[in-house]
Amino acid sequence: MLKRKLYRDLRQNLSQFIVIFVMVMLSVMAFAGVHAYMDGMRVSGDKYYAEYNLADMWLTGENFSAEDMEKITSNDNVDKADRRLTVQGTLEGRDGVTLEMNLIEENEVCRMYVFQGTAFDPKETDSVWVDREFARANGYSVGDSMTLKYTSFKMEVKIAGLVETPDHTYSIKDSTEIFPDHHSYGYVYLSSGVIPFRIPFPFVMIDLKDPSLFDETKLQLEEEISAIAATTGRTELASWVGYNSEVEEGETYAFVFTFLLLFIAILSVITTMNRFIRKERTQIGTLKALGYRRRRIILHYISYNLVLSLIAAAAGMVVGVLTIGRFFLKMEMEYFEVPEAHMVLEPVVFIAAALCVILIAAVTWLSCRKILNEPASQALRTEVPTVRNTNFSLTTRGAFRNASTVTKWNLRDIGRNKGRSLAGIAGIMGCVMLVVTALGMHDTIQDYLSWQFDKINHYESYIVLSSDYTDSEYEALISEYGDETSQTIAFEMQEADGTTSAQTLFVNDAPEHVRTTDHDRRAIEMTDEGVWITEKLSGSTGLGIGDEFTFTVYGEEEPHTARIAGTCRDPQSQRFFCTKGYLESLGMTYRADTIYVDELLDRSRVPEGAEVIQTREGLETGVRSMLDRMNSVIVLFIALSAVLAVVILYNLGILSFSEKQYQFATLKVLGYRAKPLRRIFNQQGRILALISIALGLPAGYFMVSYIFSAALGDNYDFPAYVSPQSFVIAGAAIFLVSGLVNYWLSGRIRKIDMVSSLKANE
Amino acid sequence: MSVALSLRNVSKSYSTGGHTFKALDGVNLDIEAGKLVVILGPSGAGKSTLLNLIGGMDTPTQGTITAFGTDISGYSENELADYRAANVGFIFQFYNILPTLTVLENVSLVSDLTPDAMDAGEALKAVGLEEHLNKFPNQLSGGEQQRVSIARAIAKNPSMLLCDEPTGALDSATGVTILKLLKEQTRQGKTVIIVTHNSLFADVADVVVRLKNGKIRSVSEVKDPRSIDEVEW
Repeated sequence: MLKRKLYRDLRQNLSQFIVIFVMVMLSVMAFAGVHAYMDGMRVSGDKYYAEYNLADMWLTGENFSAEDMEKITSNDNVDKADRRLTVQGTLEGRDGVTLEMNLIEENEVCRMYVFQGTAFDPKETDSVWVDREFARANGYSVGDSMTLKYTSFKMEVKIAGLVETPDHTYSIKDSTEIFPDHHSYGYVYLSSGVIPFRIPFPFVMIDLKDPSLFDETKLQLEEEISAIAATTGRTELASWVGYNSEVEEGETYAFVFTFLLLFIAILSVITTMNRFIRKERTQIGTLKALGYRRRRIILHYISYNLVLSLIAAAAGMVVGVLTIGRFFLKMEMEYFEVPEAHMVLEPVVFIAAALCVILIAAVTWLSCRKILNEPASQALRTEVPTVRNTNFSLTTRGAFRNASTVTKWNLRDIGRNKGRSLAGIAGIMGCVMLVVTALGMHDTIQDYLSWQFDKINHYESYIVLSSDYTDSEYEALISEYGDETSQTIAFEMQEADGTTSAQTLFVNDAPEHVRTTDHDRRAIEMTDEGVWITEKLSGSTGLGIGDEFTFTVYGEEEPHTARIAGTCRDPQSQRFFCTKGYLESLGMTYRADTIYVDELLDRSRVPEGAEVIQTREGLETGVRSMLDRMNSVIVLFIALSAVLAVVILYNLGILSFSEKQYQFATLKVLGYRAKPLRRIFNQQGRILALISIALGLPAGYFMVSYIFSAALGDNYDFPAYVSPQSFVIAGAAIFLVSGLVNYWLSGRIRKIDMVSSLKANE
Repeated sequence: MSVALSLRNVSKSYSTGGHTFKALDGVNLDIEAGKLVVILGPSGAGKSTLLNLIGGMDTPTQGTITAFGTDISGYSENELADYRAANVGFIFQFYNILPTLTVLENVSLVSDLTPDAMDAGEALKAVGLEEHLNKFPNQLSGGEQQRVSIARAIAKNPSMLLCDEPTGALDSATGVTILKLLKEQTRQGKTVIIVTHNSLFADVADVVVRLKNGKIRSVSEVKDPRSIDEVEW
């Protein structure tokens, strides 16, 4: 019989139960979907790195000989080591294509994942293993021939395999690019035997037995092998850093967004269930009076939502993975090359979904228990609302003493129904936060770009010079493109505690094209009196104005001592800056590596002595792609918050309406028309919405701030920024949605049947 | 005396689950102004339905209701609201006062509705609650709450007070006080209609209407109503 009651109650309260279903499903869907692709990226990446042996250590030098390799492999902590030559080449017949050509002897470290074709064989000197994404974008397949060019040297080879390697998960031409362009850039692997003469091997990739002993191994190798100019780890590998920071950033904002969604939804569902149980008070009392056992009554009421929330949570997980998860993983994999990237549902998703169900059941149990603890005779009566005078001192003696009766009534109603009001405020506030956070993420990135592209960079193109350009080539280049140049020097800095750290110095001899900015983003005019250090780096190294530090340029032996002349701020690179004059005053030679130009150059026409041409337009395309990707996330979260906001507001509106129904009926009986009563109802909605918006806007800002402080890598330093327009849009949108939902609900006042409402109350 | 209310052939039916239930069936009744009218009948007789129709809270399925010379049976929702605001003061068994408003504010609430409204403080003084103006309803006893309800009803200065079991939730001593207050209103020319199943009310009324199964069984004028204090409650 109780089952029959359950079905009928479900039918009678259909809208409330639909709300519960939608809330649980939507929030679990977002949580599961976002976690599935984020966790999937992390797990797939880690598995790929482990199975295909991503190097733990890279050695860089002029050339590593066979004897050096023997010494390296004989180190106790070295498991495997491969040496290689990497050069930037081109492809005959394809203008504008740059290929990173890797010549190797073995493929034990950073092993190739072969999609098609055969595995790497050093004996196959007329074969090439090609980056799968590059081949796909340019229509190459196994068996096709291609002619590779490096300076004047040509190699005609046949494609033996389409591959991806773990050190190329994020494969871009240079550090200024953001979005990989597989049409114009790719990587290939060749056997070193393809070159008929002896070639140098400036790189060694090492797989360590115990990566935690990195520093000790580094010291041992650097002591033993003189050819080592620099030793770096995974944290210096752009590909590894790019992929991992994407995962870390994603995990931070995914956690914030999805946790917020889940929190809002659970809060709202709990409020609904609590109200539903309280509405059932007399029925619970009746069942108790009839002799039903406590356990049976509680189980009866828990079963209302247990099945419902279980189905909703399961459906949310499935739909979330198939929609949100699949969509975002596909989008991410347009940037990253990770074979077999797949979604993963980690225990946290199941725990969150189960928590949702358990929490709802627990609230039902607690609400039921509270009623069942009363004697049956008392539970049979409707709950007597408790009103304490002190709660209303604000309206009887305080600021609102002279407010209209309607305002006082609304304020007291909010005060009297604290649970409902707080749940409402928290729910709407959460929606405001979601919208502000989503818009703020977009604003912050735009703000960062405006800093980077409008305040720091003032060029149309720049030319990256070859490392081995000749004086005559350089002379020809600066006579054609001007002498606004720069040089980036990597060096090892002696820290105060005796350790060393890898740093870079940007020697700026292009003050018209590349500006150095201060804390407030104003251009600084650097002098020849010392180096400028970025504020963030100053914080991490402890170096301040007037301090001196000693450094050694990689590949050189002689140390230099520099003095800090000032601090500056850079949004994307934490490093040192100085003028050409100061560099030379240290006894160092300036050798430009980049020329900045005012005109838009053709990227496919790389002049002699240069390696790459990058344009502002090209950089902006990459940035736009990144923003598009971010916009998809933003649109998703705004859409979800809008749906959630409507559902929450509708739900709270319904609860508020049903509680006030008899009061409205009384006022109707007294002679009030529906219109002024609708105004009363809408006023309360407006008060709650305004409080929530007032709290939600700053909270949203702090959320953006948290996301950027937690997710940004060490290299970045830009503050969270939410534009006034975004605050206005977020506040106005939620206020409007709230107003519309309340307006729609208040239409029910017209339909209140005075007679039955008053009787029901009795 | 002029006729305050006139009901002609009034019926009210309700449809539930495919069945039609006739709560009132061909009621004809005239009520003079300034009288204390008691409508008696067992549960389900149609007393409350009759009161709701007279008070403009509901409309008849059939027949006409003329209140103070105007036919209200075809009134729109807003016209009925205006009619209630101007002419009717309701008093309920469970008071129906708003819990989040103070005593004074509950009574002031009606002053927006009619230009002839009394001062809320005066209305509360009339029912003896001048000491409790700033209290909230839950700080009052049942009898005091009912007096707030009466003050709210008379503050509008209506021509008619409609009371549905006004002493049903009160002890007998408090009930007597409330009844005296209502009787006093008739002396000021107001028509007071009380719906009850308590037949003792018949002794103090000017007119007694008896209902059964939705029909009027009798309408009797009490020539010499007893004083409220004389009745053994």
